[in-house]
Amino acid sequence: MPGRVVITGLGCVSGLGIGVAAFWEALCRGDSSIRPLTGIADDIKINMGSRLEGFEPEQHFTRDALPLLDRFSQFAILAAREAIEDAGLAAGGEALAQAASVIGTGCGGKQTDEETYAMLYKEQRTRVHPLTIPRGMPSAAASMVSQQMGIKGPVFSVTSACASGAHAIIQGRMMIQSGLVDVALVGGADAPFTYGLLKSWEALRVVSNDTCRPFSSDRSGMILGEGAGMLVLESERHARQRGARIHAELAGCGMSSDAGHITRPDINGISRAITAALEDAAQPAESVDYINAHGTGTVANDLAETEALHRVFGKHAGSLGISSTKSMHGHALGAASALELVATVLAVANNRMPPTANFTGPGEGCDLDYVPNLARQKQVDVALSNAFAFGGLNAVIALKSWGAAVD
Amino acid sequence: MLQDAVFKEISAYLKCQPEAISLDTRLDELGIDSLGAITIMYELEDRLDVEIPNEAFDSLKIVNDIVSQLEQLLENKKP
Repeated sequence: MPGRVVITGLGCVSGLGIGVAAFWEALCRGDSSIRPLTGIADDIKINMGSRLEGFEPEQHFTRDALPLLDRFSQFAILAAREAIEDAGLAAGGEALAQAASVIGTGCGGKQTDEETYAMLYKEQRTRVHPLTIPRGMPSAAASMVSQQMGIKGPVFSVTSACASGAHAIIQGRMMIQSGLVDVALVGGADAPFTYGLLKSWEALRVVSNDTCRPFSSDRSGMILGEGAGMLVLESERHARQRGARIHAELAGCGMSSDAGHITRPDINGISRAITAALEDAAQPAESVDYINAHGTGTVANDLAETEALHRVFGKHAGSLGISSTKSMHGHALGAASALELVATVLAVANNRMPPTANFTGPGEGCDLDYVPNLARQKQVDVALSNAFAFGGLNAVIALKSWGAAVD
Repeated sequence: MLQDAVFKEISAYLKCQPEAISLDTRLDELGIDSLGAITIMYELEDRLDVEIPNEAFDSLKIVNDIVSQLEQLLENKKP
């Protein structure tokens, strides 16, 4: 039986700011970072988003480093630095030299790609910058994090749209469980506020024109976000040997694919992923206290997710605290499930459920406890983080509080 | 002058003074690897409106190789 995998470091960047403290404080206050979008282009109908405002890359990176860093790589590195420092590990140290890193992204270096395509197609230029490929490739963030942190074991990116971060985290856990590595830096990063991506999301007609109100009767769609979430995973043995502080146990993972509709969520697929995570964690459904929902704020997702929770949890569904923190940090695509796992770790570590902000009253069929608008102080021993991507790719992660795990 | 343009581009890339560069300085001694050379040449190609053929990059060993290569390309451009 594989040993336990624990979480010893957290880092994040989102519309709520840089750093875990700003993130968690805003979540607990129910503060939303969803604001009017300005300065991209006049013909974009998407008018709201959760962007990291006032970000000055020069304050965080040397001039030498910046030419190779797309915005999504910048976010990944900032979150990685924080997670590694939080874990008490040293960039360039022996533990990281042996470590793995898996970073999920839904979009990759779109800023770089789109700037290049604009030069070619719009400005009719015939040449592009030589660093376009290494800066824009979807694995750029993983490569740059590896370089900057001195991570020399298995390093790669995974992509599964809105579940990319969760799938990356699961890969890291599997590598630790297999004995391949003792430490893995895992998470997700995305920076989707580019002209072409916004026009593409606009065409899909799933983005709200005011705000994200998950599970509410007047919900009107998702709101895009950006950022990165990173976590340091370790084998319990490694963490104990070096006396690391443990935030929580990464107790179980469940993955499934709907193999059905490209965008419509499927209750069967979602239910199978949740059930698989519980089985992997060896936890009965009744033990779960809190769920950080996928909760996009679309009519289809929130209803399907609620129905799936009823199916898996039965009577216990009504006892769950369920919240969608996307109401505050937006849907950061490949970063979303990593940011949300950071929030779930903090919920477990602090016995505090962040709320679903902007909640105006339950939508039809949304009849569970969504922790509306106010954070709740309550024992959280076992929690789930849900991620259900377009394309039907589902990933669910189960956490156990470290106190409960060692009892 | 072409030589000044080359020195200026290399110093901008290395973030050093142009005086630190001479015609016979080896590119690898300056810390310019192949990716660095491509980046510097990209800027020079843009400025001078020339295109350096891929096979020419292998022969760029010292600063003067860049100057000579560009001189030849500019010469070829003349009607």
